[in-house]
Amino acid sequence: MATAGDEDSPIIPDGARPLEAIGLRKSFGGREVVQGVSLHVNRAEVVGFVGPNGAGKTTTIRMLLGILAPDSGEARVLGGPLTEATQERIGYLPEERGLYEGLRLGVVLQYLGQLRGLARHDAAVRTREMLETVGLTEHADKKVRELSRGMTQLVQFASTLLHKPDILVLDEPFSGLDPVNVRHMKELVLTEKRRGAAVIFSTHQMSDVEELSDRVMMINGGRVALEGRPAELRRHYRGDTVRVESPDVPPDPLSGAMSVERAGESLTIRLTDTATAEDVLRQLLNAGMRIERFEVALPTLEDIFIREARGE
Amino acid sequence: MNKSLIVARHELLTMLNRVGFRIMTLFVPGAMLLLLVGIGVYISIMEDVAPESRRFGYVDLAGVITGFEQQGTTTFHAFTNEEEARDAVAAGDISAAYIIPANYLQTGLVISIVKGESGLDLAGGGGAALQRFLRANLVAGVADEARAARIRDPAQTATITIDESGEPVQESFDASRAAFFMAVAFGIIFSVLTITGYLLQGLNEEKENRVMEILLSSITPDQLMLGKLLGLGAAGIVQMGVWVVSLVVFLIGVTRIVDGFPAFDAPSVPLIIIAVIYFLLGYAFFAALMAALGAITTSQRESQQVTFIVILPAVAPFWLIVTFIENPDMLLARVLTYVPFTAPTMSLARLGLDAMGTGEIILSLIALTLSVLVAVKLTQRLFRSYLLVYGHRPPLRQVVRTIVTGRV
Repeated sequence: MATAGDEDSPIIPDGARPLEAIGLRKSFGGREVVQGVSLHVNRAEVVGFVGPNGAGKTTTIRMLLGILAPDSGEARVLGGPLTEATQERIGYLPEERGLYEGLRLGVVLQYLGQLRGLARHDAAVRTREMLETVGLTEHADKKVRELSRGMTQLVQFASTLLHKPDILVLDEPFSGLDPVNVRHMKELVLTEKRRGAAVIFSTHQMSDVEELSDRVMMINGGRVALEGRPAELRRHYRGDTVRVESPDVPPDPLSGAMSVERAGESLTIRLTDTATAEDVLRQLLNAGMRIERFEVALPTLEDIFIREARGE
Repeated sequence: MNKSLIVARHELLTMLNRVGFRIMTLFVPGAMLLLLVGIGVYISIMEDVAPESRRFGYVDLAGVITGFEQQGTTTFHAFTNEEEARDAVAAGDISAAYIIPANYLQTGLVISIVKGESGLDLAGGGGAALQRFLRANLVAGVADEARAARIRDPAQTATITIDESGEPVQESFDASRAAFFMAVAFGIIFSVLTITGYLLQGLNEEKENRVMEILLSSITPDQLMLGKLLGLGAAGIVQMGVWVVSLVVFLIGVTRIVDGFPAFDAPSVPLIIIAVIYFLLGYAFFAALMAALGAITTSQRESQQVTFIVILPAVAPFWLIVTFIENPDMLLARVLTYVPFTAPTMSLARLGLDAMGTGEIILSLIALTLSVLVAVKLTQRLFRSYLLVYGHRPPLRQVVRTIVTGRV
């Protein structure tokens, strides 16, 4: 039996993962840019897909969508291999995206809607609905080149949602957007999640990941470097950073400290693998420092991202 | 609806809405209309300014002429037989002689005897005056429907060109048919290159605008290519249809107003079918090549730098067109009939000159069909591999490897 709420809810076979990658590999010119990546996205879940430039995010996404054929491994959609029918259940917003500059907005959206499996009449209806959703109804007859950049970005996102997809794949969805449109699009993403869609989005902005994601997956050098819920990851990386408030200068060298950053009366101390917070506190007190505050800090996702990207 | 058909419909509508395409499509009929009007005005002026040359002869074997020999400044002199009339033309006593055959009322055919080589006599032509002369005589004795029909449409002329001695000059080819097929051949290659140029431009736009990746997330490269070929091919058929119809109208008009221009007979249905097949195959071949260029180039500027690879061999036969008209059976002409780049134009030109046998036509079409299949296959490989290549063109060695192996 399939899982379905109201008529807008995704229809996903029981027990099936909406989107899944199993051991994807891809090489270009002898260089393996994706090295056995496996991932999955559940129904009504938002997954943040992060990694430094060149990590293999876009190539992985293209293989998930069938745009690129993997050298080995498999992409599965709605519990089965990718077919024309299941491909139509995906809404994709590529990182490098555009629209036909010389065509009217309504015409472009209807065309893309039809390519995503909508009948011509349904595409026209959904075009009107989506333009209303993004507040661009009165611009339907304008040519794309007559729209502002912000409007164009909203239209691009609207085109992704035209066919009420079960799965949303968004590659750097918020890059280049002004804050108002970022907010608008984040609301749309969360609306899609509430509708039951499985969402995966790639980004460099860790704040976006912390705000939207139920789960985070990071790849680096074509491999999965870490995966988990944001709170779990932060707890996992807890304990190797302490924050100290003191008017005094810390001793140098400080045993067990990998790095010491001072900003005013605040100190951020990264610990070595073998050191403990207690060791450091003892050294500071022994040195006669006046400690006004001492805490073991939870790292931000950005801290974790940077450390993983550096291979620390 | 099949996704290729969705793409085809989109491409066709987009093309029909392009201002450049509309101008190009309507330019030919417009130019022909202007040319027709210009020819008519020129003949009319020449009739008015050269009254001394307005003397014609006629031999009435149908018994329809009862008088009315003075038509404005033009005089028609009766001759008792064709030989006398020819002598008068050869001697320059009259500009032309019209033989009105015994069955004129049934056929409307009037034979015009003029002096010269080309068979065309714009300045000395008496077409309009002849029409008035015949009408005046026919109206005077209208009695039955055949005669009434001749009043409405008095003359379809056929020309016998004679030399200084009064002997007929042998026509080497049917000028009207040859002109028609030459024009169609030129139109085909022009239309094909125009349409496929738009195909290339469209692909580059989709790459430059970054629409390509959105398309490829919904449709396979093969479906996209097929849709584009179908849609733009339909646009090409529309364009060629407009051009051919306007050409037929133009040629019919010219035969009516230019004295001595051979009567235009519409090509037979099989010939039209063969011409359409050449157009479609030629279009498919060049479209596949342009699509391949579109796949491996990354911008319109870059693609414009390489399209000469396709365009140059396509237009090459027109450099030697005079030679081919004089000798359509020469070895080079025959060879170019089988080369895919030149087959559509060379074959149609030679068909117009009645220089192609059935066997040659079949072999040429088979060769062109095979070339299309190979071109489409190779283009598919490039389409699958390079549609998402932005920013840099793949090196030639890599492109060749992809063509051969299907892999990047």
